[in-house]
Amino acid sequence: MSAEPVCALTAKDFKSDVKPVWCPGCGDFGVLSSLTKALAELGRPTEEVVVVSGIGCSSRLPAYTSCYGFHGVHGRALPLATGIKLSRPELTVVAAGGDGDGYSIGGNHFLHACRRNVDLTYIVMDNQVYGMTKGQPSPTTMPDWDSALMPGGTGIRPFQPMAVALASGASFVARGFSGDPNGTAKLILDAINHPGFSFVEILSPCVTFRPEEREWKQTVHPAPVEETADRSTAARRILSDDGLNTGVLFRDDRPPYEAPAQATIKDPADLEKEFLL
Amino acid sequence: VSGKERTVTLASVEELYAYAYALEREASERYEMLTEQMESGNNPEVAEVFSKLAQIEALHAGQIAEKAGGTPPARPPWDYDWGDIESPENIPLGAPHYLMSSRQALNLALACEKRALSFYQAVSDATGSEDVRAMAAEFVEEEREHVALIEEWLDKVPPEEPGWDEDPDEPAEQ
Repeated sequence: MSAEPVCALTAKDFKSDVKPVWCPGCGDFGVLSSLTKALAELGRPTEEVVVVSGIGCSSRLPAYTSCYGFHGVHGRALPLATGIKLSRPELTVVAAGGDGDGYSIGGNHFLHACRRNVDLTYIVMDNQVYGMTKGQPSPTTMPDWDSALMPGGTGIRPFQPMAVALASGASFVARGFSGDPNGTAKLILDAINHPGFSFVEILSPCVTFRPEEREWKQTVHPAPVEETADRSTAARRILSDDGLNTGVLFRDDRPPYEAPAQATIKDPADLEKEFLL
Repeated sequence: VSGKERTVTLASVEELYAYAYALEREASERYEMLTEQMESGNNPEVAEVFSKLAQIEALHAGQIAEKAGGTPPARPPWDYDWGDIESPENIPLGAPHYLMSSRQALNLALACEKRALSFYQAVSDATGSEDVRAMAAEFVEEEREHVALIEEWLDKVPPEEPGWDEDPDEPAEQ
Protein backbone atom coordinates (compact mmCIF):
# COMPACT_ATOMS: atom_id res chain seq x y z
CA MET A 1 0.00 0.00 0.00
CA SER A 2 1.36 3.39 -0.99
CA ALA A 3 2.10 5.81 1.81
CA GLU A 4 1.78 8.77 -0.57
CA PRO A 5 -1.63 10.27 -1.30
CA VAL A 6 -2.54 10.23 -5.00
CA CYS A 7 -4.17 13.66 -4.83
CA ALA A 8 -1.78 16.45 -3.88
CA LEU A 9 -4.51 18.94 -2.99
CA THR A 10 -7.14 18.45 -0.31
CA ALA A 11 -10.45 20.14 0.35
CA LYS A 12 -8.84 22.00 3.26
CA ASP A 13 -6.44 23.69 0.83
CA PHE A 14 -9.46 25.43 -0.73
CA LYS A 15 -10.97 26.56 2.55
CA SER A 16 -9.97 29.97 3.90
CA ASP A 17 -9.34 30.84 7.54
CA VAL A 18 -12.56 32.86 7.64
CA LYS A 19 -15.17 31.08 9.75
CA PRO A 20 -18.59 30.98 8.11
CA VAL A 21 -21.25 33.01 9.90
CA TRP A 22 -24.14 30.99 8.48
CA CYS A 23 -26.63 29.71 11.05
CA PRO A 24 -25.57 26.38 12.59
CA GLY A 25 -27.15 23.62 10.49
CA CYS A 26 -27.45 25.79 7.35
CA GLY A 27 -27.33 23.79 4.14
CA ASP A 28 -24.74 26.17 2.72
CA PHE A 29 -22.09 24.50 4.89
CA GLY A 30 -22.66 21.35 2.84
CA VAL A 31 -22.26 23.29 -0.42
CA LEU A 32 -18.99 24.82 0.80
CA SER A 33 -17.79 21.32 1.64
CA SER A 34 -18.85 20.06 -1.81
CA LEU A 35 -17.15 22.93 -3.62
CA THR A 36 -13.84 22.50 -1.80
CA LYS A 37 -13.92 18.74 -2.38
CA ALA A 38 -14.65 19.24 -6.07
CA LEU A 39 -11.83 21.78 -6.43
CA ALA A 40 -9.41 19.43 -4.68
CA GLU A 41 -10.25 16.72 -7.21
CA LEU A 42 -10.00 19.23 -10.07
CA GLY A 43 -6.40 19.67 -8.96
CA ARG A 44 -5.86 23.24 -10.10
CA PRO A 45 -4.05 25.53 -7.65
CA THR A 46 -6.13 28.05 -5.74
CA GLU A 47 -4.81 30.99 -7.76
CA GLU A 48 -6.23 29.50 -10.96
CA VAL A 49 -9.79 29.40 -9.64
CA VAL A 50 -12.12 32.39 -9.19
CA VAL A 51 -15.30 32.26 -7.12
CA VAL A 52 -17.73 35.11 -7.81
CA SER A 53 -20.96 35.92 -6.00
CA GLY A 54 -23.71 38.47 -5.58
CA ILE A 55 -25.47 39.29 -2.31
CA GLY A 56 -27.17 37.08 0.24
CA CYS A 57 -26.30 34.40 2.81
CA SER A 58 -25.00 31.97 0.18
CA SER A 59 -23.11 34.74 -1.61
CA ARG A 60 -20.68 34.82 1.30
CA LEU A 61 -19.14 31.71 -0.23
CA PRO A 62 -16.08 33.34 -1.90
CA ALA A 63 -14.77 34.56 1.46
CA TYR A 64 -14.78 31.03 2.77
CA THR A 65 -12.59 29.69 -0.03
CA SER A 66 -8.90 30.38 -0.56
CA CYS A 67 -9.41 30.96 -4.30
CA TYR A 68 -9.56 34.37 -5.88
CA GLY A 69 -12.92 35.79 -4.94
CA PHE A 70 -15.24 38.60 -5.90
CA HIS A 71 -18.20 39.34 -3.64
CA GLY A 72 -20.06 41.52 -6.09
CA VAL A 73 -23.26 43.43 -6.49
CA HIS A 74 -26.73 41.97 -5.85
CA GLY A 75 -27.80 39.80 -8.79
CA ARG A 76 -24.67 40.58 -10.78
CA ALA A 77 -22.50 37.51 -10.16
CA LEU A 78 -22.99 36.23 -13.71
CA PRO A 79 -21.96 39.40 -15.59
CA LEU A 80 -18.85 39.55 -13.42
CA ALA A 81 -18.09 35.88 -13.95
CA THR A 82 -18.67 36.22 -17.70
CA GLY A 83 -16.25 39.14 -17.91
CA ILE A 84 -13.61 37.32 -15.90
CA LYS A 85 -13.88 34.19 -18.05
CA LEU A 86 -13.76 36.05 -21.36
CA SER A 87 -10.77 38.13 -20.35
CA ARG A 88 -8.93 35.34 -18.54
CA PRO A 89 -10.12 32.13 -20.27
CA GLU A 90 -7.37 30.07 -18.68
CA LEU A 91 -8.99 30.45 -15.23
CA THR A 92 -11.69 28.21 -13.77
CA VAL A 93 -14.64 30.46 -12.96
CA VAL A 94 -17.41 29.54 -10.54
CA ALA A 95 -20.31 31.88 -9.82
CA ALA A 96 -22.46 31.23 -6.76
CA GLY A 97 -25.45 32.67 -5.00
CA GLY A 98 -28.96 32.10 -3.83
CA ASP A 99 -32.42 31.90 -5.35
CA GLY A 100 -33.26 35.51 -4.57
CA ASP A 101 -30.00 36.86 -5.96
CA GLY A 102 -29.99 34.64 -9.03
CA TYR A 103 -33.63 34.33 -10.04
CA SER A 104 -35.10 37.67 -9.01
CA ILE A 105 -32.79 40.68 -9.26
CA GLY A 106 -30.34 38.60 -11.27
CA GLY A 107 -32.96 36.77 -13.30
CA ASN A 108 -32.27 38.51 -16.57
CA HIS A 109 -28.54 37.84 -16.30
CA PHE A 110 -29.37 34.20 -15.66
CA LEU A 111 -31.32 33.94 -18.93
CA HIS A 112 -28.56 35.48 -21.00
CA ALA A 113 -25.75 33.58 -19.30
CA CYS A 114 -27.55 30.36 -20.25
CA ARG A 115 -27.99 31.69 -23.80
CA ARG A 116 -24.35 32.76 -24.23
CA ASN A 117 -22.98 29.47 -22.95
CA VAL A 118 -19.70 30.91 -21.68
CA ASP A 119 -17.58 28.19 -20.05
CA LEU A 120 -18.33 28.80 -16.40
CA THR A 121 -20.20 27.10 -13.59
CA TYR A 122 -23.14 28.66 -11.79
CA ILE A 123 -24.13 27.22 -8.41
CA VAL A 124 -27.43 28.34 -6.92
CA MET A 125 -28.07 27.44 -3.30
CA ASP A 126 -31.84 27.37 -3.34
CA ASN A 127 -33.58 27.59 0.05
CA GLN A 128 -36.78 29.11 -1.30
CA VAL A 129 -36.52 32.14 0.97
CA TYR A 130 -34.63 35.40 1.45
CA GLY A 131 -32.72 34.41 4.59
CA MET A 132 -30.35 37.33 5.04
CA THR A 133 -33.21 39.84 5.12
CA LYS A 134 -35.18 37.61 7.49
CA GLY A 135 -37.60 35.40 5.73
CA GLN A 136 -39.36 36.97 2.78
CA PRO A 137 -40.72 34.73 0.00
CA SER A 138 -38.31 34.34 -2.93
CA PRO A 139 -39.01 33.48 -6.58
CA THR A 140 -38.91 29.73 -5.80
CA THR A 141 -41.12 29.87 -2.70
CA MET A 142 -44.28 27.78 -2.97
CA PRO A 143 -47.46 29.89 -3.33
CA ASP A 144 -49.00 28.71 -0.06
CA TRP A 145 -45.99 29.27 2.23
CA ASP A 146 -47.36 31.27 5.11
CA SER A 147 -45.03 33.90 6.56
CA ALA A 148 -45.19 37.08 8.63
CA LEU A 149 -44.65 39.23 5.56
CA MET A 150 -47.04 37.29 3.33
CA PRO A 151 -49.80 35.73 5.46
CA GLY A 152 -51.44 32.91 3.56
CA GLY A 153 -48.65 32.83 0.98
CA THR A 154 -47.93 34.75 -2.18
CA GLY A 155 -50.34 32.78 -4.33
CA ILE A 156 -47.77 33.07 -7.10
CA ARG A 157 -46.48 30.14 -9.11
CA PRO A 158 -42.79 29.51 -8.27
CA PHE A 159 -40.03 30.21 -10.78
CA GLN A 160 -38.82 27.03 -12.50
CA PRO A 161 -35.03 27.50 -12.69
CA MET A 162 -34.18 24.16 -14.29
CA ALA A 163 -36.74 24.56 -17.07
CA VAL A 164 -35.74 28.18 -17.65
CA ALA A 165 -32.06 27.23 -17.84
CA LEU A 166 -32.87 24.54 -20.35
CA ALA A 167 -35.09 26.75 -22.47
CA SER A 168 -32.52 29.53 -22.40
CA GLY A 169 -29.73 27.33 -23.72
CA ALA A 170 -27.67 26.13 -20.76
CA SER A 171 -25.61 23.17 -21.90
CA PHE A 172 -25.35 21.46 -18.49
CA VAL A 173 -28.23 21.33 -16.03
CA ALA A 174 -28.03 19.46 -12.72
CA ARG A 175 -29.65 19.40 -9.30
CA GLY A 176 -27.96 18.50 -6.04
CA PHE A 177 -28.75 18.42 -2.34
CA SER A 178 -26.55 20.04 0.29
CA GLY A 179 -27.12 17.12 2.68
CA ASP A 180 -25.24 14.90 0.22
CA PRO A 181 -21.90 16.76 0.12
CA ASN A 182 -19.99 14.01 -1.68
CA GLY A 183 -22.60 13.44 -4.38
CA THR A 184 -22.92 17.19 -4.87
CA ALA A 185 -19.13 17.52 -5.09
CA LYS A 186 -19.21 15.11 -8.02
CA LEU A 187 -21.92 17.20 -9.72
CA ILE A 188 -19.87 20.37 -9.24
CA LEU A 189 -16.74 18.74 -10.65
CA ASP A 190 -18.70 17.48 -13.66
CA ALA A 191 -20.09 20.98 -14.13
CA ILE A 192 -16.64 22.60 -13.98
CA ASN A 193 -15.25 20.07 -16.43
CA HIS A 194 -18.13 20.66 -18.85
CA PRO A 195 -17.11 23.10 -21.60
CA GLY A 196 -19.97 25.59 -21.52
CA PHE A 197 -22.41 27.22 -19.12
CA SER A 198 -23.09 24.70 -16.36
CA PHE A 199 -25.98 25.30 -14.04
CA VAL A 200 -26.12 23.43 -10.73
CA GLU A 201 -29.20 24.04 -8.62
CA ILE A 202 -28.57 22.84 -5.05
CA LEU A 203 -31.39 22.39 -2.59
CA SER A 204 -29.93 23.94 0.56
CA PRO A 205 -32.22 24.14 3.60
CA CYS A 206 -32.63 27.38 5.54
CA VAL A 207 -32.93 25.93 9.06
CA THR A 208 -33.88 29.29 10.55
CA PHE A 209 -36.75 30.49 8.37
CA ARG A 210 -37.67 27.25 6.58
CA PRO A 211 -36.99 24.56 9.24
CA GLU A 212 -39.37 22.22 7.42
CA GLU A 213 -36.75 21.98 4.65
CA ARG A 214 -34.79 19.63 6.91
CA GLU A 215 -37.28 17.07 5.56
CA TRP A 216 -35.58 17.25 2.16
CA LYS A 217 -33.14 14.71 3.58
CA GLN A 218 -35.98 12.19 3.51
CA THR A 219 -37.51 13.23 0.21
CA VAL A 220 -34.71 13.98 -2.28
CA HIS A 221 -33.82 11.07 -4.51
CA PRO A 222 -31.53 10.31 -7.44
CA ALA A 223 -33.19 10.94 -10.81
CA PRO A 224 -34.72 7.65 -11.92
CA VAL A 225 -33.58 8.16 -15.52
CA GLU A 226 -30.21 8.63 -17.18
CA GLU A 227 -29.13 12.12 -18.22
CA THR A 228 -30.05 13.14 -21.74
CA ALA A 229 -28.58 15.34 -24.47
CA ASP A 230 -32.00 15.87 -25.98
CA ARG A 231 -33.37 19.22 -24.88
CA SER A 232 -37.03 18.40 -25.45
CA THR A 233 -36.77 15.12 -23.52
CA ALA A 234 -35.04 16.95 -20.67
CA ALA A 235 -37.69 19.68 -20.70
CA ARG A 236 -40.49 17.13 -20.47
CA ARG A 237 -38.80 15.41 -17.53
CA ILE A 238 -37.94 18.61 -15.69
CA LEU A 239 -41.41 20.09 -16.07
CA SER A 240 -43.04 16.92 -14.80
CA ASP A 241 -40.66 15.95 -11.99
CA ASP A 242 -41.25 16.58 -8.30
CA GLY A 243 -38.42 19.10 -7.93
CA LEU A 244 -36.49 16.66 -5.78
CA ASN A 245 -34.66 14.62 -8.44
CA THR A 246 -30.89 14.91 -8.10
CA GLY A 247 -28.18 14.31 -10.65
CA VAL A 248 -27.21 15.59 -14.08
CA LEU A 249 -30.47 16.02 -15.97
CA PHE A 250 -29.18 17.49 -19.23
CA ARG A 251 -25.81 17.83 -20.94
CA ASP A 252 -25.04 18.59 -24.56
CA ASP A 253 -21.92 19.57 -26.48
CA ARG A 254 -22.93 22.97 -27.81
CA PRO A 255 -19.65 24.87 -28.23
CA PRO A 256 -19.07 27.51 -25.56
CA TYR A 257 -18.93 31.18 -26.43
CA GLU A 258 -15.40 32.57 -26.44
CA ALA A 259 -14.08 36.10 -26.85
CA PRO A 260 -13.38 36.86 -30.53
CA ALA A 261 -9.82 35.89 -31.37
CA GLN A 262 -9.09 39.22 -33.09
CA ALA A 263 -10.46 41.33 -30.30
CA THR A 264 -8.22 44.31 -29.81
CA ILE A 265 -7.86 45.79 -26.38
CA LYS A 266 -8.26 49.54 -26.47
CA ASP A 267 -6.01 51.75 -24.48
CA PRO A 268 -8.08 52.91 -21.46
CA ALA A 269 -7.08 56.49 -22.32
CA ASP A 270 -8.78 56.12 -25.72
CA LEU A 271 -11.91 54.81 -24.05
CA GLU A 272 -11.98 57.75 -21.69
CA LYS A 273 -11.79 60.18 -24.61
CA GLU A 274 -15.18 58.94 -25.77
CA PHE A 275 -16.71 60.20 -22.52
CA LEU A 276 -15.02 63.58 -22.43
CA LEU A 277 -17.33 66.49 -22.96
CA VAL B 1 -32.49 9.46 1.27
CA SER B 2 -32.01 8.61 4.90
CA GLY B 3 -33.28 5.26 6.06
CA LYS B 4 -32.57 3.63 2.71
CA GLU B 5 -29.30 2.05 3.83
CA ARG B 6 -27.84 -0.71 1.69
CA THR B 7 -25.27 -3.31 2.64
CA VAL B 8 -21.77 -2.54 1.39
CA THR B 9 -19.59 -5.39 0.19
CA LEU B 10 -15.83 -4.91 0.50
CA ALA B 11 -13.58 -7.43 -1.21
CA SER B 12 -10.15 -6.78 0.26
CA VAL B 13 -8.47 -5.67 3.46
CA GLU B 14 -6.88 -2.77 1.52
CA GLU B 15 -10.35 -1.56 0.56
CA LEU B 16 -11.55 -1.92 4.13
CA TYR B 17 -8.61 0.15 5.36
CA ALA B 18 -9.43 2.83 2.80
CA TYR B 19 -13.04 2.94 4.01
CA ALA B 20 -12.05 2.92 7.67
CA TYR B 21 -9.59 5.77 7.16
CA ALA B 22 -12.09 7.81 5.15
CA LEU B 23 -14.79 7.20 7.78
CA GLU B 24 -12.65 8.61 10.59
CA ARG B 25 -11.23 11.46 8.50
CA GLU B 26 -14.67 12.57 7.32
CA ALA B 27 -15.97 12.41 10.89
CA SER B 28 -13.09 14.58 12.07
CA GLU B 29 -13.73 17.14 9.32
CA ARG B 30 -17.45 17.20 10.12
CA TYR B 31 -16.72 17.82 13.81
CA GLU B 32 -14.37 20.64 12.81
CA MET B 33 -17.19 22.16 10.76
CA LEU B 34 -19.59 21.83 13.69
CA THR B 35 -17.02 23.42 16.01
CA GLU B 36 -16.95 26.47 13.75
CA GLN B 37 -20.75 26.51 13.60
CA MET B 38 -21.04 26.55 17.37
CA GLU B 39 -18.30 29.16 17.74
CA SER B 40 -20.05 31.52 15.34
CA GLY B 41 -23.38 30.62 16.99
CA ASN B 42 -21.97 31.72 20.37
CA ASN B 43 -22.19 28.28 21.94
CA PRO B 44 -18.61 27.82 23.23
CA GLU B 45 -19.45 24.89 25.50
CA VAL B 46 -20.68 22.70 22.64
CA ALA B 47 -17.94 24.03 20.36
CA GLU B 48 -15.44 22.59 22.82
CA VAL B 49 -17.19 19.20 22.79
CA PHE B 50 -17.12 19.08 18.97
CA SER B 51 -13.51 20.22 18.93
CA LYS B 52 -12.51 17.37 21.26
CA LEU B 53 -14.44 14.90 19.11
CA ALA B 54 -12.65 16.22 15.99
CA GLN B 55 -9.32 15.56 17.66
CA ILE B 56 -10.37 12.08 18.74
CA GLU B 57 -11.52 11.14 15.22
CA ALA B 58 -8.28 12.51 13.73
CA LEU B 59 -6.41 10.33 16.19
CA HIS B 60 -8.44 7.31 15.10
CA ALA B 61 -7.66 8.08 11.44
CA GLY B 62 -3.97 8.15 12.32
CA GLN B 63 -4.24 4.83 14.13
CA ILE B 64 -5.87 3.23 11.08
CA ALA B 65 -3.15 4.60 8.79
CA GLU B 66 -0.57 3.13 11.14
CA LYS B 67 -2.31 -0.22 11.15
CA ALA B 68 -2.55 -0.13 7.34
CA GLY B 69 1.16 0.60 6.99
CA GLY B 70 0.55 4.10 5.62
CA THR B 71 -2.22 6.46 4.64
CA PRO B 72 -4.51 4.58 2.25
CA PRO B 73 -4.38 6.00 -1.29
CA ALA B 74 -6.70 8.98 -1.68
CA ARG B 75 -9.71 8.60 -3.91
CA PRO B 76 -12.58 10.93 -4.76
CA PRO B 77 -15.02 11.19 -1.83
CA TRP B 78 -17.95 10.09 -4.01
CA ASP B 79 -16.18 6.80 -4.79
CA TYR B 80 -17.02 5.47 -1.33
CA ASP B 81 -20.31 3.63 -1.23
CA TRP B 82 -21.44 3.97 2.37
CA GLY B 83 -24.80 2.37 1.71
CA ASP B 84 -26.38 5.67 2.72
CA ILE B 85 -26.13 9.34 1.81
CA GLU B 86 -23.03 9.90 3.95
CA SER B 87 -20.40 8.11 5.97
CA PRO B 88 -22.02 6.49 9.04
CA GLU B 89 -19.88 8.43 11.49
CA ASN B 90 -20.85 11.88 10.20
CA ILE B 91 -23.36 13.89 12.19
CA PRO B 92 -25.95 14.79 9.52
CA LEU B 93 -25.84 18.37 8.29
CA GLY B 94 -28.83 20.14 9.72
CA ALA B 95 -28.97 18.06 12.91
CA PRO B 96 -27.28 20.57 15.26
CA HIS B 97 -29.18 23.42 16.86
CA TYR B 98 -27.38 26.62 17.80
CA LEU B 99 -28.67 26.40 21.37
CA MET B 100 -28.05 22.68 21.78
CA SER B 101 -26.50 21.32 24.96
CA SER B 102 -23.34 19.27 25.36
CA ARG B 103 -25.52 16.31 26.18
CA GLN B 104 -27.42 16.65 22.91
CA ALA B 105 -24.13 16.96 21.02
CA LEU B 106 -22.81 13.82 22.67
CA ASN B 107 -26.02 11.95 21.89
CA LEU B 108 -25.53 12.82 18.22
CA ALA B 109 -21.95 11.56 18.49
CA LEU B 110 -23.15 8.39 20.19
CA ALA B 111 -25.56 7.71 17.32
CA CYS B 112 -22.64 8.12 14.90
CA GLU B 113 -20.50 5.58 16.74
CA LYS B 114 -23.41 3.13 16.80
CA ARG B 115 -23.93 3.58 13.04
CA ALA B 116 -20.21 2.94 12.46
CA LEU B 117 -20.45 -0.22 14.54
CA SER B 118 -23.43 -1.42 12.49
CA PHE B 119 -21.58 -0.54 9.27
CA TYR B 120 -18.59 -2.72 10.16
CA GLN B 121 -20.86 -5.48 11.39
CA ALA B 122 -22.70 -5.45 8.06
CA VAL B 123 -19.40 -5.46 6.14
CA SER B 124 -18.23 -8.41 8.20
CA ASP B 125 -21.47 -10.28 7.58
CA ALA B 126 -21.55 -9.57 3.83
CA THR B 127 -17.97 -10.19 2.74
CA GLY B 128 -16.73 -13.38 1.15
CA SER B 129 -13.19 -12.76 2.38
CA GLU B 130 -12.06 -14.25 5.68
CA ASP B 131 -9.41 -11.54 6.02
CA VAL B 132 -11.97 -8.76 5.57
CA ARG B 133 -14.30 -10.48 8.01
CA ALA B 134 -11.59 -10.70 10.66
CA MET B 135 -10.49 -7.08 10.18
CA ALA B 136 -14.08 -5.78 10.12
CA ALA B 137 -14.71 -7.68 13.35
CA GLU B 138 -11.73 -5.82 14.88
CA PHE B 139 -13.26 -2.52 13.80
CA VAL B 140 -16.59 -3.60 15.33
CA GLU B 141 -14.83 -4.06 18.66
CA GLU B 142 -13.09 -0.71 18.34
CA GLU B 143 -16.38 1.04 17.64
CA ARG B 144 -17.89 -0.76 20.63
CA GLU B 145 -15.15 0.82 22.74
CA HIS B 146 -15.93 4.23 21.24
CA VAL B 147 -19.60 3.77 22.09
CA ALA B 148 -18.65 2.94 25.67
CA LEU B 149 -16.38 6.00 25.90
CA ILE B 150 -19.12 8.36 24.74
CA GLU B 151 -21.59 6.74 27.13
CA GLU B 152 -19.13 7.33 29.99
CA TRP B 153 -18.73 10.93 28.86
CA LEU B 154 -22.50 11.31 28.76
CA ASP B 155 -22.76 10.09 32.35
CA LYS B 156 -20.73 13.13 33.43
CA VAL B 157 -22.86 15.65 31.56
CA PRO B 158 -26.10 16.98 33.08
CA PRO B 159 -29.32 16.86 31.08
CA GLU B 160 -30.39 20.02 29.35
CA GLU B 161 -32.64 22.45 31.14
CA PRO B 162 -36.30 22.64 30.13
CA GLY B 163 -36.73 25.39 27.55
CA TRP B 164 -33.17 24.95 26.31
CA ASP B 165 -34.20 26.09 22.81
CA GLU B 166 -35.96 29.27 23.94
CA ASP B 167 -34.11 32.28 22.56
CA PRO B 168 -35.10 35.67 24.01
CA ASP B 169 -33.65 37.29 20.88
CA GLU B 170 -34.59 34.74 18.25
CA PRO B 171 -34.28 35.44 14.53
CA ALA B 172 -37.61 37.01 13.69
CA GLU B 173 -39.31 37.05 10.33
CA GLN B 174 -39.71 40.55 9.01
